[in-house]
Amino acid sequence: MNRLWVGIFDSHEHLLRATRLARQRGLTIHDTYAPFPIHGMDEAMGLEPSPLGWLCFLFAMTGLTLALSFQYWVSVFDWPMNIGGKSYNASPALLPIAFEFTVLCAGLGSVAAFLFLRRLSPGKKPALGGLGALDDRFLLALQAGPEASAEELRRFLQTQGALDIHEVAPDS
Amino acid sequence: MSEREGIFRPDQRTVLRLCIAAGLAAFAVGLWRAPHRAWAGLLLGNFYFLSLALAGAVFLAVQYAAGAGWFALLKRIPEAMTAYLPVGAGLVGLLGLCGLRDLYVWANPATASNDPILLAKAAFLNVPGYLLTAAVCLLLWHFLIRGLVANSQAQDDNGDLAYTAKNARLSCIFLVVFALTFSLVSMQWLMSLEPHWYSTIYPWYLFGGIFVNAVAVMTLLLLLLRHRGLLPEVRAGHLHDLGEYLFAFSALWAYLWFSQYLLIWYSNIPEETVHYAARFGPGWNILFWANPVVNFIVPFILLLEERSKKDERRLLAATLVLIAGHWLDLYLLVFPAILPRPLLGFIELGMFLGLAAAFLLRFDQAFRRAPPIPSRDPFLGESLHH
Repeated sequence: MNRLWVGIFDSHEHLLRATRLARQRGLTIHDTYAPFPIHGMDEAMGLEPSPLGWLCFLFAMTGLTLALSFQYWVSVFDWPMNIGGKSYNASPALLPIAFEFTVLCAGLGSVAAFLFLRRLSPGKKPALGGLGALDDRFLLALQAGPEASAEELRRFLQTQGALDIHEVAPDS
Repeated sequence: MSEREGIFRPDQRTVLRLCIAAGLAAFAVGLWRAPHRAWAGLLLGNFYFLSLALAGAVFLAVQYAAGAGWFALLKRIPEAMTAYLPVGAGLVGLLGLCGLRDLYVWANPATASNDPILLAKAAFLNVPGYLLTAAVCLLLWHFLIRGLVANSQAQDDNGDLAYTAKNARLSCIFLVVFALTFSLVSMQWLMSLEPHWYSTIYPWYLFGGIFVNAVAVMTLLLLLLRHRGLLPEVRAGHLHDLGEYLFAFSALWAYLWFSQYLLIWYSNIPEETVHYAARFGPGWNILFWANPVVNFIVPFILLLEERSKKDERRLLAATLVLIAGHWLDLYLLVFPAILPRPLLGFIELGMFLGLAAAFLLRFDQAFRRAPPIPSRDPFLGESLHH
């Protein structure tokens, strides 16, 4: 893979503007890095909609089904108990636990799916570690290719107001 | 000065005036044939639209108190929704002076004086107390809300930033006053229809309903205004945020609806279950179980996806379902105390239509009075790029 040209910006607005323009010019955007999520960045980078929402729904439905069926099995088949003369399969009593377990599964499942989709794990080396994206800097990483030479990328980042420009290997 | 564009064309305003006339006719027929139905219809309809005016102001106050920027572009809509308040206050007065005996058991000396529970509650449930509480609450709401709207519109003239700070302070006061006064009137106006019964979560539950309904009506009015070519600056981001509000507060309503039901079902004490027993009677039970479906399950499915909150047609469908659902919710709070079986005739429908027309006309009038976009609001720039 070609080497990356990383522009370092001082605000998310500058990063967003540079990213939009890079996409308009047809440059290859490797990725952007920022200390916090930026509204509108998906659109600026032209990313596909995330599947995370649907995965979350799937985990939620799994949790709901598990919680309802387990409680039903316990209170109707395995260990029926007479509580205040109510029927064994009294559905209102099942709902609070079903609700909590739905939320738990949706939450934990979404985090796990996010980590898996982004290939993140504890102890993983941060991408472009030394360049300040974990601190207060906003990075735009462009990839040189047939549509733009290294020199053109450098000039583009400069005109966009990058404070500094680094050339890095793609796996660093 | 040239006439500003509003939500309705002049001929549509004439139709709305005819609807008000139909409402008056329904009320007159009701007073003649079945006074308890007429007063219950007035209580339901007036509470519906008065609470829209109030919850619109609550929405506005929440945005001011939080220093929210996204909302500046839309704030003229809830501001204009509060214009129903004086009409609603007048109708509360009419009901308080003439209709109490037909509606509330505790207001009738013949029944109340033999009832030990009602005698014990007489310090709270009595006619002068009802009138005094209503007058104090309505006056407090009127002055606080008028202050909010007047400051916001005065800012259009000179762009003074002090108005925003003033409104943030006023909003905090209003939110506290609202929480206390609304709890009081919700018990006195609605919960006391069944004066033997009580539920401490009732005002919360009612608030969940009126708030989601106010956001639904606000969204509907915004979509209608856009249909008329007004507020073209509104972007998908604004619709998305309104959709999120609808989604979240429909869930809050469901949470409170179920919380009240669960605890009463679980402890199974006769003085608490009497409320639900009335709603499990023939005819009512279908409506009772339809209530969580229209107010929670259908909007939940409609609004779950991110893009459905940005899509005007799906958002419109969700607002219409919620607006109808909130009517059903209130119908189930009021009418089981009045009628043995559900009944929806000319009296109920005509009066609700008339009050809806009055609300819309007041909204339209107030919306046309001020520029549709608060051009000097310090948050407008942020809102335009939302």
